[in-house]
Amino acid sequence: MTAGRVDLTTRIGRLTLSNPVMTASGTFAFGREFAELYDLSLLGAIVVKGTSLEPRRGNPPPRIFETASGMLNAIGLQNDGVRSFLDEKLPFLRQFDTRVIVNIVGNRAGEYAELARILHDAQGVDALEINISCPNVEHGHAEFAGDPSATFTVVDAVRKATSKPILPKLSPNVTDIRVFARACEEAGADAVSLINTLVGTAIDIRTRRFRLANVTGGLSGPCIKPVALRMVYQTAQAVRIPVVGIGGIVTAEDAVEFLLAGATAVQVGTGNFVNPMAAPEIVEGIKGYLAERGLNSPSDIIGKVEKAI
Amino acid sequence: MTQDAAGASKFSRRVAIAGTQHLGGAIHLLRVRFPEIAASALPGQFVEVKASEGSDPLLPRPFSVNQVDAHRQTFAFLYEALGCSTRQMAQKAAGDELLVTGPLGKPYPLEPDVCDEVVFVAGGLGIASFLFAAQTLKERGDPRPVRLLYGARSAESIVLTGEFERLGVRCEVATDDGSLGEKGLVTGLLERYLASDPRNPALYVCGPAPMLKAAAGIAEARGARCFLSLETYMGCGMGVCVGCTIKMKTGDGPDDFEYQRACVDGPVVDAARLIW
Repeated sequence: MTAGRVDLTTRIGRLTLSNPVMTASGTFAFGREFAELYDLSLLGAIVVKGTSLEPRRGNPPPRIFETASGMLNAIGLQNDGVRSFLDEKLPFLRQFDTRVIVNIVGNRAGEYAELARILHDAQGVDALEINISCPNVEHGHAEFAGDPSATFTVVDAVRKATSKPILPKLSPNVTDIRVFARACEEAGADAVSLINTLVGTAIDIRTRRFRLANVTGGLSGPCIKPVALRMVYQTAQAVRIPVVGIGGIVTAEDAVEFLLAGATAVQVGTGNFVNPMAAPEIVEGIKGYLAERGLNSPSDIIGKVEKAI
Repeated sequence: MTQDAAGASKFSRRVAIAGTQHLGGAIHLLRVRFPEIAASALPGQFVEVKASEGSDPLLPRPFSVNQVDAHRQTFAFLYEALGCSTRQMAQKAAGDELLVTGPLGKPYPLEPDVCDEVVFVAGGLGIASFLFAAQTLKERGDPRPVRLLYGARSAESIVLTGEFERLGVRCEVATDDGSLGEKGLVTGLLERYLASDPRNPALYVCGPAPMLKAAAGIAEARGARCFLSLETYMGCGMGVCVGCTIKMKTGDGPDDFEYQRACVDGPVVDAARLIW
């Protein structure tokens, strides 16, 4: 069997992608920088940087620090606001034959709903990812991601504001992520994305100062992959809606692990910084993995992991 | 370079090392064949380089373009084998591969209308980008005098001065221990130069943060134009992660600032706008 017979078309509920590889929010900005490197139409979807109603200045520097096989970040959702997104960023993204998913962020359920209403009318916005799990802003994690009923309230508010597909992005900084995934499912989410970053910190022992101005930051990269993979596996067993796997994916082998664990699609985050060509290389790598095994579609391997003994 | 349209103006791939050279102390030169970058890079721009195959260290690191050989389609960068990433780099030989992305960042403003005298002020490995700048001015047939004020720890860390002299650059050197040139800091050379009342100079400064800050202060006191090439800790190096932000003035009020990205809004910035 040849690679030509593989069809990577992926369905996440009502959302159809040309392949299961997306770029994760906050690691791809609004596409322009990567468009100088490769054709963005190679991607299944682009999840744009967290977008709020009003512009946000973000946290003071230092904002990032590399750790063992990973990095900490505390950017603080710096963005120019949803109006700037619609006027200046979306028209550029619409040139490409890919899906545009807008990651929305707010301080209250009403703000998420307002963002959803604004984006509902936008041509070229294919879905919304609801960011209730950013660990680096005052509101966010504590209010929404740490409380299943607050998670339900936000997702429900967004659901009532738009008929576009919605994908809440879940925090790993909870005792049992499945409870939150079920709350999202009950509120009418089309899928769940997981995981966001793990809260961590680092200290400079010479200066005895924290490495980040924000003290804590979100840990990402290959070091969090085993945790993400476990959570994706558990969540895929717990809900009927599709799971989008995120966490330390740098190579096609990483992506295949997530598909086997039960993810319908994956997002490449920090991997875009490690190797700017990571996302299109992963698309090709998944195709090669399937072709070598005589398989036609990613759906042939989704959730097909078996016990070691 | 294309800024608004889709299409390649940056390039990223694994390329073979064309040659290596130990320049002195822990300083090495590494040359790679990368025709697109050799053809389009401008002085002050940098490349992101990942030497490790695996995840330790995870992220590529930024290196200024040091020289370009358009004929051989190669460019070189300098590194000091002190950290985890650069020590791995020092283990590499010609033919080994590196993941290289570039060209990145804003170049030095070297246009003739900026100043009447070009003054490069380098601290340590901050020398790296200025050879390319001097080469470019020479190739453009720029008639303005070019001067290099260069400081480092000791004689073994003073590199490439011969190359600058061949390009007609007037070099002055200072070392911390006095083993070459004047004993003292490069900022001493700068003070003395500016006290000589040069005609409309512009300072192009690259080096460690305390030296940049001192040089910017001296430039401000003397009313000289000053451009700093910042060595800010970076994540992606291409404007995406917003991790390498610097605080830049947007007006005169205390709240008139914005966080800009050192990698794409810099690394070269106007010292008068930077908030330390």
